Amino acid sequence: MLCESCHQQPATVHLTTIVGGEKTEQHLCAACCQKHKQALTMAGMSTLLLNLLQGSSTPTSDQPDIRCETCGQTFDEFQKSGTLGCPRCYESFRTHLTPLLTRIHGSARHTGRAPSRTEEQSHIRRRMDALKREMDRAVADEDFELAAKLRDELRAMTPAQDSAQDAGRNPAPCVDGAACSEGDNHA
Amino acid sequence: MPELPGFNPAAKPPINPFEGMSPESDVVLTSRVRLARNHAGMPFPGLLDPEKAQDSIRRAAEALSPHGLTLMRMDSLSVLQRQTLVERWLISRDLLKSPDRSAVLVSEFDSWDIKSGHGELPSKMLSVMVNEEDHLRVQAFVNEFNLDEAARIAFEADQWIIEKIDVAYDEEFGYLTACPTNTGTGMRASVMLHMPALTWAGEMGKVTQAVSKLGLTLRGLYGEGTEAQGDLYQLSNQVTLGRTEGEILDDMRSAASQMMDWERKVRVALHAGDRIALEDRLMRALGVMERARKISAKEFMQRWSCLRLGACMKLIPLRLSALDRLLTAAQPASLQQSAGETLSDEQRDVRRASMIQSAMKE
Repeated sequence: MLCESCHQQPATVHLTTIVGGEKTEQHLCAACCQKHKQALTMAGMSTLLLNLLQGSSTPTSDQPDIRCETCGQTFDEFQKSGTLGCPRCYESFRTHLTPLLTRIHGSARHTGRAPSRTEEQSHIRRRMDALKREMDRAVADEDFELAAKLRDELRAMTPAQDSAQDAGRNPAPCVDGAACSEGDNHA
Repeated sequence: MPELPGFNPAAKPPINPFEGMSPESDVVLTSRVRLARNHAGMPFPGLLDPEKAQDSIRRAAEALSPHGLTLMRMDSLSVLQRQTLVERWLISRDLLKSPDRSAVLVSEFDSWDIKSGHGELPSKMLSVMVNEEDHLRVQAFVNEFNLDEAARIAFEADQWIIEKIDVAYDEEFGYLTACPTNTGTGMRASVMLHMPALTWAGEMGKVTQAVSKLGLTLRGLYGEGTEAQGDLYQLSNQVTLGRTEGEILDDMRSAASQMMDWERKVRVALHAGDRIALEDRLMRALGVMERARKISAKEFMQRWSCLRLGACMKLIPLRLSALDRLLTAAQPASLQQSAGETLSDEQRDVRRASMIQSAMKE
């Protein structure tokens, strides 16, 4: 077998590369292997990603390019640059990103840590959620006296949350689903 | 190891090359854990307008300054100071692409003056880059093979961020990052390995193949797309989604240990195979480093690698701690910063040679 690169010397080195579970094989002579080795060793992640993107699940030419409504970036632009415009792009391009993430990482389901705040903040958040549910129930039961009382109690807790948001802080994000089942205050 | 007639490398008073170092320091220089985090509801840095970029810096400073981190805006530093931070791995080259909208927060160092570059960095460091590819890139370094300690420092800083900042997170995809290659844990753990024997034996192709099967990758001295100068490689995880932080750290620890064993075996094999050729290579490097009047950055890295291997094999009486300090001190920006002035290429090479020789006498 001749070297795939120079087509002159016999291929004595057989390289196997696995990217995102996809295997490619190269058959090279010793001299060409030496040249390829450094490039292979130092291949940057961006290069690997762009290679994957070229074969990724993309909108077909008869489908309009999808666009993130928050930042305006299109999926086509993402394919060219390799970077997304904003966190909401993950929602906008979810259908296309899921297979891509699977190809890159072998999975598209996060199993690691989730952001969680201190017990005190989580407690405040849980208390506010409980009050809100009670208030909604009181309104539904037409117990307006109780609803007003609960509303005042909620208001008394709200300034702390507002100032927290001013400083770039939002209430506890969804960690276990219990603290934020109402879905409010989430980005 | 029997000595050859007429050659006694231990003629100088014996020194312990591993003094103050961990047992793995014959191959490992540093362990690092990096976390990528972003503000929810804010475009990633690539699309940030100047006002929002400043807001991102302000919020990062609010979250981290109370914990003793010092904010340095890139546009408040000279080009030399910025480059020195790259050479010390406190920031990446990418952070310098838009210096008017990027910053770094670093743990306070009593022993090293960032502005002048004088002194030595501590053995553990924390830096948080702001508005690189992601809004926040937490980096914790430890000068030994200790990924757990690097992770502990990084996750402590992560908690400070979470307490104050609404971080972009998705139940399915995990931490959301500008590039999908970091999505999930957002964690990149890396170990810097000195592997001259594997490199000289032409084994790096095999090593690269082996690590890629484990979802890991090898990069050059200063990260993605950089050369493996000085036979130094960064082993890091490629997969960030679908595995927990603990699993990734376990994989890294196991792969780095295997590479250490591999490198050590090849060192022994090289020495057993052609002892004279190996010692000649190492001693020539010693001769140049001890005597040359000019040493370029590229030549320094080649010779440095020989000296470090020689010290590990107890053929060259130098301490690894001194050689590792030299590694950063002899880089172009660090060299000029310690000189207190900008130097031409030639002046730099002369200063490098004299600085190396002073360090070797210590």
